[in-house]
Amino acid sequence: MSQLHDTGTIRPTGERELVLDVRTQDMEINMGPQHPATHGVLRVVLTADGEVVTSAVPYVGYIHRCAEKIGESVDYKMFVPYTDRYDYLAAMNNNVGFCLAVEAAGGIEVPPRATWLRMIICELNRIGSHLIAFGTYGMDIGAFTPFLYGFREREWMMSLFEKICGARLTYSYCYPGGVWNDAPEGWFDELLRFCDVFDRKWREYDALLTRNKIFIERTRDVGIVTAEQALASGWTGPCLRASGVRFDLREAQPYMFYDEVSFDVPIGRGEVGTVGDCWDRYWVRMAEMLQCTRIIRQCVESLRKDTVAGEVKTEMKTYRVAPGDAYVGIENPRGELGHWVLADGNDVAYRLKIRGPSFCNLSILPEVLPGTLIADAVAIIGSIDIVLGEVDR
Amino acid sequence: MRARSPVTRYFRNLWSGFFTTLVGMRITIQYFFTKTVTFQYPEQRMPIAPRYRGIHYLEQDLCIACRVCERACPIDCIEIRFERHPGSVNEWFEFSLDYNKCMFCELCCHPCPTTCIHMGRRCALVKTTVVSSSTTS
Amino acid sequence: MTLALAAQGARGGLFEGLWGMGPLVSAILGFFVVLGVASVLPMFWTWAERRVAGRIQQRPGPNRVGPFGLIQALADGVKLMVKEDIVPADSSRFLFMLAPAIVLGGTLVAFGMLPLSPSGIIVDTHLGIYLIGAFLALEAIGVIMAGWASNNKWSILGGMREAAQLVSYEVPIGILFLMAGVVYGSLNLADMVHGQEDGAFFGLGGWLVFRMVPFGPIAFLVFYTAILAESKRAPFDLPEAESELVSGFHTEYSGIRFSFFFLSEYAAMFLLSGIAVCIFLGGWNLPLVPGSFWRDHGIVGELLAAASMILKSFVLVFVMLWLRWTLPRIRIDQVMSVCYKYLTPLAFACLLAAAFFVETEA
Repeated sequence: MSQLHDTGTIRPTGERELVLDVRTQDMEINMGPQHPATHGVLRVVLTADGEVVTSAVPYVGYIHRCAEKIGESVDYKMFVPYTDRYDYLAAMNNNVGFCLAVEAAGGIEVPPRATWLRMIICELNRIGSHLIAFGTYGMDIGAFTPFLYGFREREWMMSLFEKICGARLTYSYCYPGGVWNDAPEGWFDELLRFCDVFDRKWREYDALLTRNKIFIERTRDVGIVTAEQALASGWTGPCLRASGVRFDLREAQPYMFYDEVSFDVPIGRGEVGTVGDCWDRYWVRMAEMLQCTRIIRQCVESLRKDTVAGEVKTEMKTYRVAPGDAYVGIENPRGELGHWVLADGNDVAYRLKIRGPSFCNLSILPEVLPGTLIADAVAIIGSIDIVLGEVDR
Repeated sequence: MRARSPVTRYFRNLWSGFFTTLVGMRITIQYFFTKTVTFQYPEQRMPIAPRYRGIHYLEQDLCIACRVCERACPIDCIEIRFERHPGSVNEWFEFSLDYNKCMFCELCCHPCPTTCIHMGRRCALVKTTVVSSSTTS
Repeated sequence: MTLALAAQGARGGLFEGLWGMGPLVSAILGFFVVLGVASVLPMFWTWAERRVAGRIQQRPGPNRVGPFGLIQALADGVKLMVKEDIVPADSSRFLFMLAPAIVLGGTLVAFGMLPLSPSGIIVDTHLGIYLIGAFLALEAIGVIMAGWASNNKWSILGGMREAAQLVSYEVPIGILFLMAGVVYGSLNLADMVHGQEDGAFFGLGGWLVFRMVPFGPIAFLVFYTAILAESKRAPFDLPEAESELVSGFHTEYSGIRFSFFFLSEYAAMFLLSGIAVCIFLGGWNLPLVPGSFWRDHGIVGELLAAASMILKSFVLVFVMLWLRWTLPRIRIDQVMSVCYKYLTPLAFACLLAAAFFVETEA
């Protein structure tokens, strides 16, 4: 009945992969919508032969909230609070992305100081988002403590946001034409202090989780996504860069003042395994956090020059955008977050299209999951770092 | 990272498994002896920033029931019932804010002509005693 | 069968010698002592676990119920007892209800064979550690039963993982038991402790962990790793991996049955640590204290020995907690490869080395 059977795949170590072929009835397992590892209400129907996944079908849409349709029924500034809510871990980036699109469509001027502030908060939010990715990924792999260490630093980041915009998660800070308010007294000093402390703590994360042997063994050579596969499924962001493609919107088509700051774009090099495995995806995020603090320091330096002093507050007015359209994609922590605004001369967008990175990144699951173990499936879903609020919008 | 000979690889795996575990244990035990960073909620509370967007408060005398905030609200959670007084300011008798819907975006506060609606620094609606509470301010 | 063997090999229990009681009375008394100790101590460890986890993660952990939250475990126990006992409709009811009893029973019986002091052992048999191993192996049956009877796919996966893991890790543990047998010339745990009395270096040199360097320390580390897996502690907590299998084999359990699994896990943690202490860390022997001290001072000596033994086991349990809140979880195929590719060969090496050392010393 049972026989050794060559799967035809060759492991990166050079060994042929042989499996003992004992046929049993495949088991259909529902992973999610209420499962600890699916990071929200993702439902993946796995067909498993014992512990080996043979097929996977993701189902999305459990928290569909009609974000695009709402965007076509409330005016531009009123839609900003809604942008907080699709990718709730990177609300600032969403605010900025939407505002940039509206400003591009309406030709609205933004004071330079506001743009620098936007860059700072984008990068700060990127750190916060990647910290969640780091923590929850540790938890997916089974390490609970890094999660709380990550949250410890994130808590500080959130109180920084609370000081500048008055909210801890749904910021609604940027509005078309500027930002809601200038930074309060002493905020930049605390920000720089945060950056210094964070850089120190980062080394700790590195020693605790990234370089841990068990963690490396769990994530290397798991869920390998080649550059071709990644491009074919429309991957962007850290996941795409982990597959070895150097594509970062901040570098490829600089928006705001990203061309005036210097930063590296970390890409996956297959340091412990193969290019594009789970460890690479995790590592790109970790390395990006250090670049974020680097960008923040440069932004604060530019802000402190006198030339950019002045008012940053928007008048919170209702812009009537002349007929036309604009697409602006920005580098969200998860990839390219694009907003396409089609204006018809009214204060409400005629059509608003949101291109979410998590949704595109998620689409690779049916391709990658088959053939992995259930524990690997959890590791792969975690490494793609999806936010279900943004998948379903 | 990857040793060439299988024998070296075997022992390196063993060693790195053992060593990185020790490194991790050193980090966690350091925190074992440090102070906690959490707040014991009901007794201690986190400091709330001056700009915090919490539960609204309304300067009732100033409100002229112009309904600008009602229109500014993206989610239509404000409802003002008032009497019209032609020639004079309107007099409101019910100003209700539905906190099931409110998303604390502060868009209602910006356009107010008399700046009578503000977002306060209160953030919790919970009470320690059961009293009849209403969200009407 | 094993019970018959146990009866044959019995050398008399704790109370039998004390006041000249018959074996039946002694057994009943022993049963109550084990039940008391093995169900109260785990409660303390659930508290300790949460407290340690809290401290490591820079939060206080349970601190509301009683001083330092010490009564928390009791409160949880009461909560679990008064909770509704849910049996899933499509489960096999009988097996579902039997499984926790088997899991807890096996651990409790094994508990009775752990010597806490020179004569503080409920069932003293010549088979010693192997009988303990046999009763601990009952747990696997109970867990598979629980996983299967729950009629939940995650539970089945958890049960199967547990079976694979426990059966595999009994191999290195069994080999190291053999090594202990070779070194001490006995399988009885109390005899092993006596074998470690009065060594060089203030008495430390007699402990197996410091003998036959490097094989003694390696054997201890291998044994410790294996008992981590045997008691389903991180990084080997796959059967109940919460991020993968929701809660593994006890997903469907609630109330008192759920607490049985927990009690058994914590009891097994202490039991296996106790065995490790007896084999490798000199049992109740302390540096600078002569081995005769414990026997010559009557009940005081016995109590001090028990205290020393429990304290040493606590240290090992603490390291287990510490490890759990540090390490990620390993994958099922890696669990197997750690066992068969690393631990088992190392255990064999230690066994051979022990045989060699014993032969040359003799």
